[in-house]
Amino acid sequence: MEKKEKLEKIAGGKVSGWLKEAEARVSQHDWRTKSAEVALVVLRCLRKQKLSQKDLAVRMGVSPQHLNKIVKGNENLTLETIAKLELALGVQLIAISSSRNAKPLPVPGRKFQMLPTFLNTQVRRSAKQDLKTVLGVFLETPEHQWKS
Amino acid sequence: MEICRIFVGMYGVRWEGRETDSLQETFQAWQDIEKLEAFFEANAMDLSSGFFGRMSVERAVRETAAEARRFEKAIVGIARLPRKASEDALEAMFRPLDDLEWRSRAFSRRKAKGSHPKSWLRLYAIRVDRGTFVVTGGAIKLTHKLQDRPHTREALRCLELCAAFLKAEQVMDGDTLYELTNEF
Repeated sequence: MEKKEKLEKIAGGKVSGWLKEAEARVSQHDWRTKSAEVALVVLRCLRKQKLSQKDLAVRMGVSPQHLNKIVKGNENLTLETIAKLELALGVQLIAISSSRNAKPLPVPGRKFQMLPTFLNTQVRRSAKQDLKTVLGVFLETPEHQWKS
Repeated sequence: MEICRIFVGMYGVRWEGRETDSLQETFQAWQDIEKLEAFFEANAMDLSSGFFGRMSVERAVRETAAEARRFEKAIVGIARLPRKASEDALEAMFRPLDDLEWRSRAFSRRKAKGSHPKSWLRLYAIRVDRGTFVVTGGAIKLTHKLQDRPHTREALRCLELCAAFLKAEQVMDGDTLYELTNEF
């Protein structure tokens, strides 16, 4: 029997749960990154303030199990929980941008959806420019500075 | 211990008394901020040894979690490939643990690194055949040799235990058994 077949026989149909977990983590990447950032600041504050997780859970009025999920960075935090954490630790964990300094987020592919409109306006404005130059301007112009 | 299939060509080890397998455990640990913070606090001396520059515990935690996410995403990508392409990708990802191993052979001890040039993330596996690997676990390797620290020695021990298990289950043939007996 081939080595691969022998190995498959030993596995005996047992399948790992990793792929399902990993696909979920990949699809939850955006909020998980933020949750991990909050968890890290909380853990560093606990160390600095010489507090245990149990102490913090009592201050927040949540179970130690809930707090443990938070510090692992696996919790999709609500604003209520973040406010409780901030109050209990006496530190600001997240900041909200004002409408004036809110930075536009890069959206994959969104810029290229604008390309036909961009070309239309630019080509009309500068008939002498060749396509290469126009495309160069398009690629170099940050999305939020582009005006149709 | 038990062997379980992760996807075609990649297998994991479920150690005695554990509910999760070696790959699950590794990626859970690498993205568990509480564990990472405690680990880097305990190994802060290795972080500041010079090789990684002036690396703070906070930066080490952030970079590890981000690197683990990229690493995991890359393996998910391999899992979605057709069989032949997946086998080729696994062959390219798992390099011999022994840098002096010059020919590709069955049952060699292998390592896979994170994508960053100075990545300290390591996955360890036994290569059973072309494109077929049993992942025994992972480690955050901050020192030059695996023998240097208890957690990396443990990763080495897992490789040996897995090889012994495959030997007991008679997956290995006579030649590879001889080579491995001499190696370990």
